[in-house]
Amino acid sequence: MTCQWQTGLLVPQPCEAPAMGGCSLCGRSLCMMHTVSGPNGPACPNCANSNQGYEQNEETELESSRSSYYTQYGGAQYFTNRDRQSVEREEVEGYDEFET
Amino acid sequence: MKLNDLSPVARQAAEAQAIRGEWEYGAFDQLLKQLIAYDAAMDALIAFRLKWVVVAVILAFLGVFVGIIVIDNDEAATGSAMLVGGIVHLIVAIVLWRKAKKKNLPENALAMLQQLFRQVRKDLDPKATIRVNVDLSGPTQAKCGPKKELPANGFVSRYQYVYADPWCQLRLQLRDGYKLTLRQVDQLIELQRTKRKARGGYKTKTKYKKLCRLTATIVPPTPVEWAGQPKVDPTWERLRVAKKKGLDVAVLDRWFVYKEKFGRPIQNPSGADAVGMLYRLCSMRPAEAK
Repeated sequence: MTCQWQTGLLVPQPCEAPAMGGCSLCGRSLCMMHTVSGPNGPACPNCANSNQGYEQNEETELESSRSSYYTQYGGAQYFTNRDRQSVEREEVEGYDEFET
Repeated sequence: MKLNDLSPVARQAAEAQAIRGEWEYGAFDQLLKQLIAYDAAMDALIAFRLKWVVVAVILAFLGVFVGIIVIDNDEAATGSAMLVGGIVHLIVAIVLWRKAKKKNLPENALAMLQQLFRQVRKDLDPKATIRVNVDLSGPTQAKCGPKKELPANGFVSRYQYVYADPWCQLRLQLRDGYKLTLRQVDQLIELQRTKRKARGGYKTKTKYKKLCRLTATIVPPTPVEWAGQPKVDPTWERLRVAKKKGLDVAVLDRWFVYKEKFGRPIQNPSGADAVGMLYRLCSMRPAEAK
């Protein structure tokens, strides 16, 4: 069995390293690199990020960034009319005025 | 970390205040690490030399004051030595402080690049290199545009100077063949206002504002139909699709504004801001590419 964690941010891809165990919270199989230890047993970066008491590492920070980008920018949401207006106009007005 | 402790490549970059060329991620990260450590050491040196200038001002004042008293007491040689010594010491302290300030690197810009590449490093094509053209010299006098006279609006005069600094150009290739470019242009706007005081004198005040324009572009390897569009903040962002060499490329612009009460603003968009823009552009790829 291979690790089921997806690495990367812009081009997610499966880790594919041999799995050494599993996440005690969501059950997905994980390699050593993507296992985070904590009070509820080993966890994947996503579960470690959403549960307290887990140590933070590069993978959990990346997962946290991914969630924030997704939440902040709406992920699969579609354009609103206001968004469309901003796209259609030539220049964003007022950005170069000194005394705002 | 002193200049001599840096690797030859990092020393060259620190001296030229620029990073250019094609880089592998590992080498580029090492370079940024060294430049950040060098910059921290330079910041400490500048702080030390500023304290030295303050002490030199006090010593110069005492030297002049005591020197004049000593000269009056018919010990001209000793008095002159004290007077001149204090002033020369002050000049040396100021020159060294300014010299260190000139060599300083913009820490926020380096931190932005480091954060950006650490977040996207796993997405980069391991066979491709990163193309970098980064100018770390900041808004120097050479980048200042012509002096512009503004309507007085009750002041004696109002002048505006604009420093245009296109300091960052990056080109990355992703694992799936898409190319990303990131460009940042900073505009430092200096406003000088002169007013007449009640007693008839003139007083000039200077205000600064920094505008940063981050432009991220995604270039597909082959002609594609973009799948939907990501959400943009219409106040500060603009998304457009442009033609480039027969391909439809998506371009996302974002503007940032920084103001400081005293002196020039040194803030910069964070690496997370830049990654957020790249992330949203990547979400436009067709489903099979995601």
